[in-house]
Amino acid sequence: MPAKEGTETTRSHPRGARGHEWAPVAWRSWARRVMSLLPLLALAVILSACTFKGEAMTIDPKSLEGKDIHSLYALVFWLATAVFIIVEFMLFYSVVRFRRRPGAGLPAQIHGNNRVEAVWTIVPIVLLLIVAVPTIRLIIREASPAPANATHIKIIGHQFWWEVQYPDTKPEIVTANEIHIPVNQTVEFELTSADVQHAFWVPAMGSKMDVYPNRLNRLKFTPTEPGDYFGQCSELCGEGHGFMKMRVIVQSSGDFQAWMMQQQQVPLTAAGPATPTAARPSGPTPTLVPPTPKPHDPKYDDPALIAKGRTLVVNGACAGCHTIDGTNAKGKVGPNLTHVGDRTTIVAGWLDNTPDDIMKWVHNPQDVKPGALMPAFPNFSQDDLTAIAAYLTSLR
Amino acid sequence: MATITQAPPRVIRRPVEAPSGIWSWLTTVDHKRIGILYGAFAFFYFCLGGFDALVVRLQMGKADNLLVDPNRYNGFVTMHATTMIFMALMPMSVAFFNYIVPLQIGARDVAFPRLNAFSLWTFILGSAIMTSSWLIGAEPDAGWYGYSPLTSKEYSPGLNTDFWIIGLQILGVATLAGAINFFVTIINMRAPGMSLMRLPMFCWTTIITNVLMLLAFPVFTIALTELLFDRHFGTTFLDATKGADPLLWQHLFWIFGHPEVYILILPAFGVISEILPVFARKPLFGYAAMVLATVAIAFLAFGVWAHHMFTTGLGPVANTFFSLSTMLIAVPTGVKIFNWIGTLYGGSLDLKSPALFAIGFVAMFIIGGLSGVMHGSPPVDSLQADSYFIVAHIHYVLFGGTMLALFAALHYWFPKFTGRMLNERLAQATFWLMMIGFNVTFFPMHFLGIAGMPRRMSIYPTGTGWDFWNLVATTGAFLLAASVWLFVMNVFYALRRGPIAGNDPWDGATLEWAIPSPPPVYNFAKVPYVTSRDALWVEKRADEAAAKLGLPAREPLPISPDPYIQRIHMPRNSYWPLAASIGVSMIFGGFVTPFKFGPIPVLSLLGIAVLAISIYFWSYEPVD
Repeated sequence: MPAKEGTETTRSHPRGARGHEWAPVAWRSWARRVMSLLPLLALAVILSACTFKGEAMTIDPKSLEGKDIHSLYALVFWLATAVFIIVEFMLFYSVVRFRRRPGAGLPAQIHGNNRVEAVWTIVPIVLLLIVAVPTIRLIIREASPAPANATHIKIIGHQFWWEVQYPDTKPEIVTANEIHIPVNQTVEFELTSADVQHAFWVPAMGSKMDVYPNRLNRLKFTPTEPGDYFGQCSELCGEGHGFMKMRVIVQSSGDFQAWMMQQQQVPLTAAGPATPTAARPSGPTPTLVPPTPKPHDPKYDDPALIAKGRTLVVNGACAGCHTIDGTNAKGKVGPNLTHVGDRTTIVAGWLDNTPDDIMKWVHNPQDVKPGALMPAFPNFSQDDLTAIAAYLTSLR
Repeated sequence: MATITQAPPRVIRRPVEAPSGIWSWLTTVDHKRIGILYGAFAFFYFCLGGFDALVVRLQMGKADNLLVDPNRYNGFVTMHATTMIFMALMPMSVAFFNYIVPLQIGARDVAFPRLNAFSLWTFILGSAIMTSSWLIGAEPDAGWYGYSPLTSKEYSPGLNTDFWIIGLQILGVATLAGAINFFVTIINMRAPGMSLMRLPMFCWTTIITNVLMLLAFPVFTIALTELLFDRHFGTTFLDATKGADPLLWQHLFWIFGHPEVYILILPAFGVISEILPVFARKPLFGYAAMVLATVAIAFLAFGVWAHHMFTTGLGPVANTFFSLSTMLIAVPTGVKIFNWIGTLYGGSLDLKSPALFAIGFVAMFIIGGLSGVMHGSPPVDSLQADSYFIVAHIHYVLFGGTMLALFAALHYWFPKFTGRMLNERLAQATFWLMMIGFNVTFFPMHFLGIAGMPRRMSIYPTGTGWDFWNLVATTGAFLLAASVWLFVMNVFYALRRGPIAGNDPWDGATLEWAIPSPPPVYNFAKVPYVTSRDALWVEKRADEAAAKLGLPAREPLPISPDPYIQRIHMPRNSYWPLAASIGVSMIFGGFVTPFKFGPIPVLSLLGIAVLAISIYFWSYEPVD
């Protein structure tokens, strides 16, 4: 046929433009054998995930609200899996079954099928309704107000630590990064920020909630199992975002009451020399003590060392940012350190609460947690740091 | 046409045309050259964004890793996303709009060729400015979404966020200019007989994507302007301490941001709708439904934005509304997937590399879509938001979706752009390595999200149990990088030694396959008259039938008899789009320079002058 400039076409040969097989037969059959193993490999990988046990599994929730969400998630997940299997099968069947046979002509030039298209428009709508109805029910249930006997806790997000207040207590308990709550009782958090956006998330408990300045968000959960749970900030908040963790310690009601009473008392060593036999200012002696930090070298219990540490902390730069009840340290910039000796971790859940870690932190916070707003104290000698660690460890 | 009796002054003469040389490229207004430049730069930025991703994966590969410090890490995470979205995926789609749309509608160029060049240079300069921030250690590091108050002057005092703002504003100007251009082109410049319902699907998705751009980008422009003013002129639009709603930024950003993700995926949908019918040798199943679904997606896209904000405490009523609208938008998306499967079913499939990439797209997009539906339920989303589950979802739809489709498009249209075929064996190896690498990288991220690992964390401690799957994902990332490398090698090989492609190596259905590869500068020697959808197929089949019956040969494509349309009058090169781009870049670029006239940067004032002069000469330069 005469070629016309600009309007030429060439029809492609069924085997491609070059008119011959694109790869020799031997290579293709070997490749085909390998490819047929791939789905099995993929399945093995996917199923192996069932054995995965991370520390903060959201599919093993430890709160009532978390369990509610998990039921909904299970519904959505299995529905999605069924749809996945069916649709991918439709795709793979079509691809495998209708491969071009050599010498085949043009297939039937079908433009559509109204009935089929109607079905596959309506079926997804139905499936989505199956997801939507329990979703809306759960949204409404989650929005119900907290019961009257709920524990109220106010959380203020800072760069890069969590301030924790118990506004219903008198005197008010103020602590940081470690949140004690009683089991089987609803706790309602009021969340706000002192600076930028953060998000409060304890995966084992369920939902997360964002934390903003000039805005009060609420989150509640009812823990069902005592234990020590990991939490973290979940909204990029700056350099130290990755280090901004927390711990939620769920205790029996009795332990929780005991912990609260202890928190409301000034530590024995806060303002004066430690005298183990001194009577507690008020209330009965707690019978059960909250989780103990790692046992430490007895040298840190030396009263003289503690006294030296007290002077350095309370009369030094520390008091400008930190509060220690019963002393002149009334700074509000950094975490409240009144009962810091009790906590299982320091530095927003990043370090263990051991004297060595305390010393490492005080000496140069940026080494441990880049972006930390606490300045370094290179002028403290090793002896000074030991004393400070002793004093802070004693604040129980 | 008026004759010019006297030569215009030298300064406003149009540049001398030349087939090659740097000036011919700098002053080009040819949509094909502009498409090649967009594609080349987009691919470069894709590799740069990929490098960012490799650094992120190396840092996340093990617990307590000290490879990258947190500030740098935040920079890599932010720039990975910003580069990929605004400087790789979007421009690569625009490259295809540029090259392919005029060919598919039978036009000789776009409606506003100089505006097209202006979009190109503005994109190039804007992305260069944004990327140059790395050189002074001031790369944006507050997330690709730049939430306030972190991006305020108080909490991000350095130039990082300023680079982010100005880069995006410049890119926004480029996008808006391009959007107007393609919208008018498709409405006004179709060949005679090409009604909208005979438009190829790629052109449908192009026009709808450009409508989304026109409506969504101005919202982002406003948000960025408010942030810029807060940072430089002391306004308090976003300052929570002065009473601003801390969620204002998020609402504005996501009203733009959600249509933005549809801007990213719709061109991919169009590409798949082109490729699958050609390689199945049967028409797209349910063309009308596909068009309607695309329009529905675009319309609904503006009503789902707060599903990015389910954990911000909007309340049960808002959460319910946006949950329902999000689930609703899944319906037209699902319809498209079924229509693609319907196209394959009953066909005669030739599984060449473009078809493989297209089928891979459908397979991966199903997964990404299903995880997206999970996120549409606010209680479930309160577990998944801001965790690696979302990272898995976005990469399944953006890499397994958009990027696989763009690779399909590259393999499909490479013969048209260059006149040579890619090596098919290497292309198939690229595809399989990419599929394996991609799934090894991103599937485990679902597990990590379920295990409670949040996003954008610069480091994670030992004892979380996240180490293993992170290591797997890091390994997968390097497999992905290797597959991209294979593609690059294939391109270099094919450019030098690939077999000649001819006009129509794939037995295509649309008009671009009726002209030589690569097309001459005027595209069509004779503008065709279009009588149906899949015009080229219909004509070729009729041709074959005529030949079988022994009837005399006819023109493969009927020609429009209108002599006015058949005139070949091509737009001339011009300096002024480049000059105007320089002006725009100066206006915004001033905000990272220290020299100020009052509160306004000196460079910005100079830029206004440059822009004004450029527009004046642009408007008055002679036609010939």
